[in-house]
Amino acid sequence: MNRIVKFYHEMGSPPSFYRITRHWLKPMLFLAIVLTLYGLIDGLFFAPTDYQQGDSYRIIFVHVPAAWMSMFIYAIIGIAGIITFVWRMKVAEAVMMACVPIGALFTVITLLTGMLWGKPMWGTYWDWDARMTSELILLFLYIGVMGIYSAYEEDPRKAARLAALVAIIGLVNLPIIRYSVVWWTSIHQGSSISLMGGSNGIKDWDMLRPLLVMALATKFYFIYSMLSRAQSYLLKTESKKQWVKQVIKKELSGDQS
Amino acid sequence: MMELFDMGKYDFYVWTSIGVFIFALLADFVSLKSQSKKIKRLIHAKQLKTQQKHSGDN
Repeated sequence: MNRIVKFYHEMGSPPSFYRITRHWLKPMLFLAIVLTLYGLIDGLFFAPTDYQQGDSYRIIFVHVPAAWMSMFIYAIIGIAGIITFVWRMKVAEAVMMACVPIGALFTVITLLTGMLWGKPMWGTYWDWDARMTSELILLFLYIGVMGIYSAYEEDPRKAARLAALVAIIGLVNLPIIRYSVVWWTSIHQGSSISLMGGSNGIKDWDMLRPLLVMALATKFYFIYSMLSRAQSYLLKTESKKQWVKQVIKKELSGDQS
Repeated sequence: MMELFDMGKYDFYVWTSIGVFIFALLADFVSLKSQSKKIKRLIHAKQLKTQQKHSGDN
């Protein structure tokens, strides 16, 4: 337990956070690339064809992991937002703001691939259905958090607290997205995976495997992207600190040699 | 070989979706790499400027 507490405290300090996470980037990127290649090849060329949707269902291997990530990342933003707002922890600010662009990107991927799946299945690219509308609202929330931060960027600490407030309020949208297909009549299909072992979702392991692999790949890419951005955020906001001077000196001399 | 890439009548939708996914992640990768380099160079330039100012004062 002491180790966990020690690790938590270390990660709360910008220099330690930078020093520890610097070594995680390459393994995360490597895992993301390998798993994406495996997941896409398995899903596109080896998974069986769906008896109802034919080959169009293969969009699931990018659409569903992106949709999961869009919500998962917003949940992390919300948690980091609460920590930022209550305890004013600088690393939480960095994590929160580093999550926003990648979360917005996954939301855009979800919406675009959803539209491309919707056209052959529903006959339309877009419908103001509860699931699609709530996912679009999620994109606006991401843009809102970015916008608020940019508006007060000259004072990063104030900007982060205001962005955290918007992020916390936006958390209410997550259960709406998750249960929209249950609460309202929707043309969108139900869950692709049932964690409780219910009758919903994919049952064929040959279809499920690439989906889970892609879900893992997107998680690893998210960790890579988030940590890279959080490190840049800390360097930028702590640029006058001694540890940043040492890091820059070391890294730039490493680049030149 | 072409049979492998055949998605029936859904070729356009499936391959465009995969393209969107790969393009978006590549764009993110390139953007965060360039952002990181830009920030490091900016901080380095500021440090050099401060050092020069201090040596000029002395």
